[in-house]
Amino acid sequence: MPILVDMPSERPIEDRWLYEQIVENVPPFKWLPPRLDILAQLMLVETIGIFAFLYFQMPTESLIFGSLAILYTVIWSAGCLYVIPLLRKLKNPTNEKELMILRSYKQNLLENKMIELIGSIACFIGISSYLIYDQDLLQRFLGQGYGNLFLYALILILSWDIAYRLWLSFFTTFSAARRSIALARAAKERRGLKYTAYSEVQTLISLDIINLYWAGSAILLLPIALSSQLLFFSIIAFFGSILVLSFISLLSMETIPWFPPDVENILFQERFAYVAVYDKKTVHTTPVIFVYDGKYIYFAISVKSAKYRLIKKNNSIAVLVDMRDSKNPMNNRSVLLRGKGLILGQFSPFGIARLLIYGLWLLRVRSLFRRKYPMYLRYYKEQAESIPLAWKEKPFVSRVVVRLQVKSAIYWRKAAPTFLRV
Amino acid sequence: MSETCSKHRQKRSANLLHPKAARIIRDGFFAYFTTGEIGAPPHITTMFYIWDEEPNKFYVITSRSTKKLQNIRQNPNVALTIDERDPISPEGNCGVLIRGTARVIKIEEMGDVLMNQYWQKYLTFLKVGFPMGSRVVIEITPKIIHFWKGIHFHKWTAQ
Repeated sequence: MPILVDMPSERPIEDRWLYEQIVENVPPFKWLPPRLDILAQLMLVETIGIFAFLYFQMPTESLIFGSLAILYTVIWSAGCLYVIPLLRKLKNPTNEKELMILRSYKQNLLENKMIELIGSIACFIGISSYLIYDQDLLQRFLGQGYGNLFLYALILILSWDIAYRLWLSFFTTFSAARRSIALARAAKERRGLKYTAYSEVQTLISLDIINLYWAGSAILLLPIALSSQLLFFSIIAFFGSILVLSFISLLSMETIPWFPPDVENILFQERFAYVAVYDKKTVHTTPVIFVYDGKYIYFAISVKSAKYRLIKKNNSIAVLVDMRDSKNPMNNRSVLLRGKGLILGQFSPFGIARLLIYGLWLLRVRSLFRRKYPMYLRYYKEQAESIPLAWKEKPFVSRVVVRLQVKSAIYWRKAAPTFLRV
Repeated sequence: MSETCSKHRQKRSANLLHPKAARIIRDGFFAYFTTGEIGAPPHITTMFYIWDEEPNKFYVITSRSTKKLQNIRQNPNVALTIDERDPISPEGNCGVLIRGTARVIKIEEMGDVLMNQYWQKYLTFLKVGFPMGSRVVIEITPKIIHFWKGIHFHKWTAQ
């Protein structure tokens, strides 16, 4: 019977962030779908702001700065539409240690109300204390409304909204960096078929990118921060810390292999792969030389080959790599990777455009081929004069590289298949 | 590897199979069996096989509930690749790609001669008591046979 590698299910995380709880319980937001909620927030807060601006005859820059601050809170909230569902949908790694790390990461972000609340309050106290301290700034913004309690209340609410979001942006980025470092370490200790599926790794990378989006949205606060040296340096420190933490997180995620050690062992050690492509309704399978870079499989083919012609027509391909046991073939192991083939390095406008995106990867792939197949490359070099152009080791002219974007993976050991989550 | 080189292409009938191609098929231990799946990439598995030289048919034995059987029921076009690898020089790589149609038959329909041939080839590994009863045979009738040796390519169309 085929085995599906998966972990036991855990209790689903149902808790909400404070922001979500407010939106889900306070009318009119609770009656609206999430996307309309964001617009409703923008309209409501902006209307109150414009009303205050007109009623208290405040300076124009107050309208601009106030609108920017409101826009920041709304753009940030839009990120929540993606982050929270992504966090909740994260599936469990099969590696126990990685599972614990991800579970703790999710719990920290979604269930730990103390961190969310204390951090936000600390941030809020910082901002409101500064506003109390710098009365000149407050007077400049409020104009004739300076001293009005209603305006003070509005400013405090907006300060809370900003403080809450700045803190959560920092906290989510910090948690992501900590998680990524821990995951990268845990990935080095994987055994057998234990791993984190690479779709989950990509989800985590998407979360890191949303953290950057959240931080980037704080640029809207920069004109306000320019009014004061302290605010300016604070916001620069905020951007700097987010950038550094995100960089650390993304770099750590890059080191995490996309397949479990047993599969990696085959992909790194074996020298031949079998590539199957469609030829209309029939199939065509031939051996190729290939390299694996920890994420993708790349194989080199000639531009005159049937494979090249067929992959261009239908990029739905399969690659099988097997490790034979010379003493007992029943102990053979193999991995079948199925997905989409992406041709890189072809001489066409489309190919050149791809080269701009994947150029650096291609250099790395070339270096991997050189290290894995020195004898083959020596042969191509020595026989350069006598072999046909289609066989020569000439990128663009006679050779292209195909990268496999894996959609499904099956691992066989002792003729028993194990379906791997990708 | 298997790059197409049109000037080396030849068309012959199956009974004039290149002697080296015939040797690879006879000596080969594993075949890479490929089926097509509607709306999905092809499916490859490593298989034991035997070749019945006259009338040029190939046989693989598999369990009843495998993916390849499901695929064959939807699309009988299959491929069988048998090759010899040379890790030192691409010139030493050679192989045969058999493309044809598959038919699922009962194990008894294979006949005693072929069954004995199969057992003799794989007896050491399958051992007595291997559960043949739960298995079926896939009979492959070649339509086109490709053979490559280094940079030389040949193609036969079965007649």
